[in-house]
Amino acid sequence: MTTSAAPRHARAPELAVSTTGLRKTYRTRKGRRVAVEGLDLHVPRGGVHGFLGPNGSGKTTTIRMLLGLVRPDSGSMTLFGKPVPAQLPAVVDRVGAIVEQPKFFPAFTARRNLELLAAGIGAPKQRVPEVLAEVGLGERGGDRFRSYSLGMKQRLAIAGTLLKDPELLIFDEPTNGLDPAGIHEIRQTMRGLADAGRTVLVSSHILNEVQQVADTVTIIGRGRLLAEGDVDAILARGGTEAVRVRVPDPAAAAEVLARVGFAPSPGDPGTVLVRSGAPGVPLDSAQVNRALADHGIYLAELVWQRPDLEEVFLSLTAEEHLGAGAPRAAPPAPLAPTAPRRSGGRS
Amino acid sequence: MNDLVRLTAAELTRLRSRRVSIVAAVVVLAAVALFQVLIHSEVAPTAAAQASARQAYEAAQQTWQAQHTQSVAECVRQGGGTQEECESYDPAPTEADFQVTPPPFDQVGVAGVSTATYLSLFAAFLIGASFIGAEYATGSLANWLTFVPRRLEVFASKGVAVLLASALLGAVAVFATLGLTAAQVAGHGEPLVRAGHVAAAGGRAVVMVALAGVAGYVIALLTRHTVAAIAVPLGYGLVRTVVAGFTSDVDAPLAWLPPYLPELNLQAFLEHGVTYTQYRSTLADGSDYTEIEKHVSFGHSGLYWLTLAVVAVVAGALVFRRRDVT
Ligand SMILES: Nc1ncnc2c1ncn2[C@@H]1O[C@H](COP(=O)(O)OP(=O)(O)OP(=O)(O)O)[C@@H](O)[C@H]1O
Ligand SMILES: [Mg+2]
Repeated sequence: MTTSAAPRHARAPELAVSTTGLRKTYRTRKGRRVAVEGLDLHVPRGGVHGFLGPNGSGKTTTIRMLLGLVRPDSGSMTLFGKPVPAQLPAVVDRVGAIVEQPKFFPAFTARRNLELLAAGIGAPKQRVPEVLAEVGLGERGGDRFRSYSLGMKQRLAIAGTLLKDPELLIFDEPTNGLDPAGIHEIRQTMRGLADAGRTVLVSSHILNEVQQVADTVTIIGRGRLLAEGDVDAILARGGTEAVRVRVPDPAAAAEVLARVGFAPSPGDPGTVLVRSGAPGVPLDSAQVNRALADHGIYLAELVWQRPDLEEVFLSLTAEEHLGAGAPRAAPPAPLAPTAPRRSGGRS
Repeated sequence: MNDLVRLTAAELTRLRSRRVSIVAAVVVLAAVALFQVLIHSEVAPTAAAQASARQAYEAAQQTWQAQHTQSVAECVRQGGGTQEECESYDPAPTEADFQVTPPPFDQVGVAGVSTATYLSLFAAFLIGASFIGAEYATGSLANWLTFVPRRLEVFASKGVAVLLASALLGAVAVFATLGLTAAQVAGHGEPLVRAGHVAAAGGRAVVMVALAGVAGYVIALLTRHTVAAIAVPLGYGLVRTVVAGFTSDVDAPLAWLPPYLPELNLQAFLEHGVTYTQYRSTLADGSDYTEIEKHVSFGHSGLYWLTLAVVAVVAGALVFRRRDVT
């Protein structure tokens, strides 16, 4: 069920991130839970790359594996062509990452937290007030991390990544908990970083947001790759363009449009959804307007309906959700009732 | 190596900024100061206290002289033991019993070291355990590791920081106690007898306090919880009391165990060898027994702690190197 909508980046000489056959299971009280299953990921250098998937699809787990926080069961990964986690220490200075909610030492001030990080990575201490100012926390640097709002914590985490001036930034749902202005700001920040030649890998399930800023995307579901490629190419596969026209008599309008070669279908009450009648022929909204006017039908409203990432995402992941009950890797049911087996209940 | 020094410095900065560390250190030092007040009343008693001590001693002496012969005879007649044994049940009171003369320096010094040591052991364990336990609890460990993914260096730097901080705490507590005690004793015109012996006891105590910090760190690292780490020694204490019945008799199944128990080895290390007793029943119903003295040497305890420290550090490193941190 893997489809590629764009030239594969796999063979490109240097990818910022790549994974092959990546697999991770977590041990839980109920046995092993597959979080990532044979994931191939290709993030080109430069630009913003969206990493999309429904809740629990394995985005955070994948990012954790890339950063050496959790160990894959099998598969390989590279960052800037270097195999990780083996050579992670060699590339970590080129990577800044925020995984899930930023977690600093709660009882320490933001400044002290960053000073500790700076000391840990060998960055000059003078960078601390600079990066705090860069994310707009200059005034609040003396407050304890515990007393920060969600958005401030998120900003502090970004400030942390800026301590090392990384080429690749990995943001795991960075806009979680931010206000609209904050979301807008993060988007601008990501765009700015990409325009400055860096690579941004951003996981999200807020598709609208990703669509606005991403150049390429990967969509995963249940730990597997569903689609990857340029945003435009992915959108093109998501469905055809349409215009929605509001008219006094939708039935009459549909009849007229069908006669002149469009493909109308009933829309919301009082409207008709019009698509191009022939495959490969672009829809011309002016022609729709003229055809109706020629027959004495005047439009109250005409709206373009372009496929968006959300539609593509939902259609791709719907199948995954449907598959959720299928006995894909389920162990055979025991023949006789036995005591529940427990395998290492640590998590 | 450079990395390790830098990371250790960062960890030390965090360690000394932590409230737990500060509070624990303050409590220990306050107890050390309090102990000096007690010492003061011992080594420098007031004239009135001294006079009343002498009075009590003399009274006891008189009573003893008046009754000793008679009570020994009574004891022998009732089958309480041989003449010698009955003599030993009623020893003559000594001046030391009544503290008529201040105790010598080595005695108060070692007592002081012991108090400072056990307090510091406790505090160091807590500091070490909460140092890493808090990182698991707040999730900040994952954040730290995204910046510094070198697991072994991270493990080592934290361990070294805890080791240094614990050693410092132990050294300050023990040697402040010794210094202040010496000053009090000398100030009262008494000689500092066996000062070298006392100082060596202090030095050994510092080693144990440093190890206690590392023990707290490694146990909390393995259990991922400060509280779980603290529960480990408590749980051990519980098990120990249950098992005591199986170790006290020389013929019991676990009679071989005591030389491998931490508390005896701790004592043996601190006191440069320790003697413990086991029992052998001489009557089938166990109503009579003889005491058998056994020894755990300083060398044995040194080897014991060295082995345990190496095992703990290697186990911690191996686990931490591969563990998922989420
Ligand atoms: N520490 C853990 N122990 C056990 N299972 C885990 C653990 N972390 C994640 N999982 C499981 O792994 C799967 C993938 O989780 P992951 O956090 O990677 O998803 P995600 O795509 O980031 O989801 P979200 O969009 O909700 O953040 C889920 O089924 C989750 O329950
Ligand atoms: Mg997630």
